Amino acid sequence: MDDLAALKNCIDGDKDSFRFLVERYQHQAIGHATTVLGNREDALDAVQEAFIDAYRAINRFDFTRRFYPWFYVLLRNRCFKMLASAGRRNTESADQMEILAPQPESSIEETLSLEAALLGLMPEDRELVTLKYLDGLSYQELAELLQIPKGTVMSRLFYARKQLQAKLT
Amino acid sequence: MKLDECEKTILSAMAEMDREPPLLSAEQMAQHLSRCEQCRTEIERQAVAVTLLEKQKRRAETADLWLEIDKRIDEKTVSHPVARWYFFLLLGAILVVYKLLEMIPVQDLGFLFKLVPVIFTVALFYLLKENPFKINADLELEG
Repeated sequence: MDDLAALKNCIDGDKDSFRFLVERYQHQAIGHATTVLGNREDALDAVQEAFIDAYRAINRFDFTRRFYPWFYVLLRNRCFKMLASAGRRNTESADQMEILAPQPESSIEETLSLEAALLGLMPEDRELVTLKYLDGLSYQELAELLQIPKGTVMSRLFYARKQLQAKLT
Repeated sequence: MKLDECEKTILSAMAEMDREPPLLSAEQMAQHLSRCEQCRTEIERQAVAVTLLEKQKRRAETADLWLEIDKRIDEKTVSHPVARWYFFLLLGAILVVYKLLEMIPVQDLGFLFKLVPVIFTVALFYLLKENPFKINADLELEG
């Protein structure tokens, strides 16, 4: 089954098709939400809420689009809402890795210091940098996903990398 | 316009590093970089961050949220446009009947009759799933 067929079935009330979409995208979504929120526990809540939002809004899905970019807007709104709500603050210390995974090419210290530097960035900058370098999205894909012009992607990436470099040194 | 030239050069160099089409040609970049040490330093600094980032991967995820989501979507029913239309139609019909009854001269239909517009408004907001007293601050948060 592909996403569009699953979405059509969802509109017809087939919950198993929605399960297919959840199972296909939940891990990717948790990774993205963890990056924005800075911690995994809040990310799990945000992803859950975003999928429920998606289920409720499924009738309004535009079939000219792909599912994940559409869902990402809902997820992003959930994450930024959580960040804005009282008591939700992203942690600035990186005792454990929530965003990054240990890599054979990097030492644990190097990865931990990068994780800490990432957590020290503004959520929007952290989101942009990780979508670019961990997910390998092109400038065009970033512009579409974040609904900003390509030029803005370039300049925001420049300032985000600059911030990151400053936090690393 | 020194700043613009510097910005364009750095953005072009970074675009090249990101395997994207640069804003300036290779000659234009080389020309600028040959006389601007500030840009050379900035590009080197940013390249360090990029190299470090490119070696990383996201943490692998294993959580399964379906059971929890399944429970929650059972609680909240999906809005079916056709079913919702019937409710709006019914409310419209009630309003029309109310207005017609109201137009009958010398008729006192009691206190409950006067409450119909209030009940109508509450039902309408319920159907629209909107709380008229809630300030929606969420709209500013997007993006």
